[in-house]
Amino acid sequence: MTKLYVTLQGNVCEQGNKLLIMFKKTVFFFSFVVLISMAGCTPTISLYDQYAYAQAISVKVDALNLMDLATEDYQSHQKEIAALNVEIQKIYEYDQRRTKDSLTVKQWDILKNPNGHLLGSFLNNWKTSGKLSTVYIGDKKTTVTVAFDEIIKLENHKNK
Amino acid sequence: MAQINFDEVFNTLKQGVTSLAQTTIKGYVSEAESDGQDMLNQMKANLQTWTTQFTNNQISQAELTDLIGDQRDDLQMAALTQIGIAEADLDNFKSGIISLIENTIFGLV
Repeated sequence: MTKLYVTLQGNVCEQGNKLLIMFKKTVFFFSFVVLISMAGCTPTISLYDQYAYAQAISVKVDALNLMDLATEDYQSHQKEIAALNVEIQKIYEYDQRRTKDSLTVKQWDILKNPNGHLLGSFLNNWKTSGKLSTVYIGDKKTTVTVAFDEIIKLENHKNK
Repeated sequence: MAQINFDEVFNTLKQGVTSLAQTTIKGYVSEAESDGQDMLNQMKANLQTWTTQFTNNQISQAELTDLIGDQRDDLQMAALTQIGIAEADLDNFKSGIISLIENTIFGLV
């Protein structure tokens, strides 16, 4: 009788241990899955933003149209130039406030830098020279178009 | 609860990750290569045009210098775009792996 009791007790303990190990494994397994999921949910770069995309295209069109006017006197187009600068400032501020959007902000920095090249230097040269040649305007439009297209392309490739 | 064969699950995941990398990362690499070639060709054409314009006195030396600076800035812009696209693809790859793990494991449970 005592022998039977000990055997039964041993079996129950063995079963209990197995269940405990299985329970621990399951808890560990699901914790692992949850942790992996959480790590995977943190994006490296901002998600696609329809407003930023549309604004970049809008500013590109306005900038290229304004550049055509540079054969005329700078003073007579100050209003349009100021309006374009405001548009750029708005989208720049907007992109600055988006999380993990530093690459796009860097691109705007390069494009608008008055002491650099591209659009910033174009507006600066126009101001300094008063008027610019058709040939130079055409050349600048090619490079400024590429710059805007890079901003637009990056936005369009962000995950939707 | 069904018994899970971890070796089998791991092999399935390994195959899934390889196939995911082939579609996500390799697609990005070939696109970046093609973009780089296009950019180089465009740069060559621009430099030829601008040099001719400078020789013909259609643009000044300062304008030529500015345009060459533009080219350098455009390359920087393109590099930033490529980094951004790579990061977005990496995010896709990460969430693809998570879905793969979840689908493989929860499919067994």
